[in-house]
Amino acid sequence: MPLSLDRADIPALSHGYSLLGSGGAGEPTITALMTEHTAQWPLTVHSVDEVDPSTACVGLAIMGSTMMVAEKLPGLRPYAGVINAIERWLGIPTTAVCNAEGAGINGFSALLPADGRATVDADLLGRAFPDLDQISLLVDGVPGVVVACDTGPGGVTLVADARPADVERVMRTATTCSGGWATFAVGGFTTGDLREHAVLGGTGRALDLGRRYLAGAETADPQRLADRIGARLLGAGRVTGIRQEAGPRDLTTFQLRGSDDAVLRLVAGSEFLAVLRDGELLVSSPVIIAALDRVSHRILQVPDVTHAMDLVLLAIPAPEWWSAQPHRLRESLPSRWGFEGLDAP
Amino acid sequence: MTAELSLRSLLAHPDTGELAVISRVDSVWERVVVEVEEADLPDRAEGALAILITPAPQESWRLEPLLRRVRERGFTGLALTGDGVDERVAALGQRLGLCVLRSARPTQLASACWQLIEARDALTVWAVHRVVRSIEYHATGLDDLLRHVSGNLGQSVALVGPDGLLQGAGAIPSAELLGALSFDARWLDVVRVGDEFAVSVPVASPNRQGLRVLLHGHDVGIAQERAYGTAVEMLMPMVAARLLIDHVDEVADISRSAALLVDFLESKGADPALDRRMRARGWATGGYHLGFQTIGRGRVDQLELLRLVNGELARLDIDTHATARGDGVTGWLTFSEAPDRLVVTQQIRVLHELHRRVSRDFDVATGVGALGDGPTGLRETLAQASDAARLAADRERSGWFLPVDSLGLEQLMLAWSVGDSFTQAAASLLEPLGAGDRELLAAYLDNESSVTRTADSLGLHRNTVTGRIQRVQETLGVDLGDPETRLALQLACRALSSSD
Repeated sequence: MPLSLDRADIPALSHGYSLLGSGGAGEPTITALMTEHTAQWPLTVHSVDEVDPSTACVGLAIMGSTMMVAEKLPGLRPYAGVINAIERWLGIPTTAVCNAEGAGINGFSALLPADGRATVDADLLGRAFPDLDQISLLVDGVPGVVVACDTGPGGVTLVADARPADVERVMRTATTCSGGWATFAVGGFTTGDLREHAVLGGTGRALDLGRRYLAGAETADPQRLADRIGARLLGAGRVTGIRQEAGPRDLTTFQLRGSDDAVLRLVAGSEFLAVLRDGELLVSSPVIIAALDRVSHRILQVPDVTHAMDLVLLAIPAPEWWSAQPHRLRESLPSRWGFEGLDAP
Repeated sequence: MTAELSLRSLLAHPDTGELAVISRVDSVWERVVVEVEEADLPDRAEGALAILITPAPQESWRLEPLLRRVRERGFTGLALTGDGVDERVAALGQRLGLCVLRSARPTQLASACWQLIEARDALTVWAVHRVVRSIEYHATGLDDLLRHVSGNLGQSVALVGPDGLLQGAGAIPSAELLGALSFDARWLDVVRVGDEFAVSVPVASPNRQGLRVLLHGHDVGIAQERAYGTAVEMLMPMVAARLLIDHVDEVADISRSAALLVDFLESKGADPALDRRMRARGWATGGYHLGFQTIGRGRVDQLELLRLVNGELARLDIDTHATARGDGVTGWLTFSEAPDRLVVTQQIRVLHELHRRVSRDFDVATGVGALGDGPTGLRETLAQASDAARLAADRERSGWFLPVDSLGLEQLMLAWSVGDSFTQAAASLLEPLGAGDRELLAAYLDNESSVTRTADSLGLHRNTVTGRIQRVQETLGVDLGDPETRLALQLACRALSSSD
């Protein structure tokens, strides 16, 4: 049965996508506003099973700096250019859209009006991840995948059948050309491919998480808040130290003095990557880690965390898709970036 | 390594490879395990200290689990090396009950641990070697020797007497620690007060009695205490020898300076060689001088008296000199510019205070001369001071202190000698002489015992004067070579002539 979304669901969806963003996918305020004012309400979101498996589909997202989206606002039909490029390359029309990253600012990408294309409740990450070669279709090696990306006013870069690492490299360059962020679309697959090679039910999950979050808004006790959301409480405490760590990528770690005197360490790259408690690694990517301001319950992005801030750290289970096969897990663990000792067992 | 090792004793060890405490958890370790890396550590090591030679990981998420795993093996101490080991893990160390240390050279730290818990004799040998090596450096005196020892050993050294600290190098021992020292202990005495410790032995010195030499400091363990105990035993003969050398040097120096003063006082006219010797000693004869002399009113140890006077003079912020002379001490204050009356009065007061301080330990009398100018003035003020000191020896009322500055010597002598009892004594003393011999004696003494000048002044032949002076001496039964006799007779002559 299709999922029907109403304008009133936007706050719950926003918070749900924020939680799934793991501190790195940006705040969805702008894209939520765009959706609210441009969509034909109520919106229908189909599960993949309800759509003809041969339906050509595109996955949509904004990549690059989410903070710059507020400085250089997207147009009201931001994906038209990249979808066009993909259709021209493939020589067929696409009739369905899905999220390429169902988290943060990108949670609303498939809900924006798409010239009558159906919205499918599937996404290519199921949470926030920083790299394009982590897209589920590329991780699974689905053949014929085409990726297109804005390169600035009117320009589009398209990469077809490329190695996943090259997709990341070329598209990252295109994003830089576009001025910090760019829209991109993934095509060359059908809704039937999504059944096996994508994270399903993300919209429903975000809606459910968001509703739980809003229901627990008045809860002062971190454990009760975690229980309400359906997350695991990793710890609560005050930030006592911030450190730029040496390593193959820039990582920041935050030391927290827990309210129970425990010593917590929150490890972050673009997203929150791992949490240690008293020297014990509790969780790490692909588990989704959310940091909330203890007083306001605001869901924080990595750059929001500062000295002396009181945090509640929550672990939200990773989409099962990532752990279903060893090669997928490999691409979601911190060790994929070369970090030693950060893969939680 | 097995035995017992405390963080305190480790920190007190002089070479632990730049040890820093990252997370201070007071610990006593029964065992130290030194391994290349974590994987080599034993599975269980309750209450042990682990030292890892391989640099620790820099990333927090690798370093913190390392701390936890080591603690889970039972270790209560972990010494790491590497740039990443810093304050960030302090909180976790506290939380886990793990004393986290950083050493730039972990092998050196391991060696220190080995010395402290397994090879205490090695530590003792090390300490003794450090003491002995101090001889290698030339020491100008005991102070210098103590500094060398303190520097080599990394501990404070002190020489103390029953009255307190005499000399030392390094930190100053607390009054509580000094108070706890046993001066009755015939050999090694170990004292602990709070976190201070001292090991001391009596100094077997023939010239200084009742002294103890001690090594003292903070926060050491039993092993260091033993090592330093042996070190102080080694140090004692060095100190005793140095005391003796310093004493001999001091006596020789005093005798040289006393001889120089005599040469100066007896010199007449320019003597470049003498001037050079004076300058070499820092005795400037130019400027203005205020002489003083302190003499014993009974038997005094002249060296001790001079030492005390010198000690007191050192507290004054003016150019001063002193040396032994006769049976007392002579000294003078030198001003480069002519001081006004007020300054002179002030300095006389200062000398009076000095006299009072010296009087606490010695029965002395002090005389102060008048301000003199240049070399001649220095001779005069010292002569006046000498006379005044002899007069002061009979002046209990003035506290055995007599400055001549305000009176003038002549008036002073008159004031002293005019009085019935003195005049009677003078008359009695000179009674065996006839008027002619009295006149001759007075002239002889007024002319500084010069036969030639006496003969000139009385219009006599020199041989006549010599013969008659000889007769006077025999008649009175006195020796005119003795300055005191001369003074007494001169005063008697003056007293009688003024009463005539």
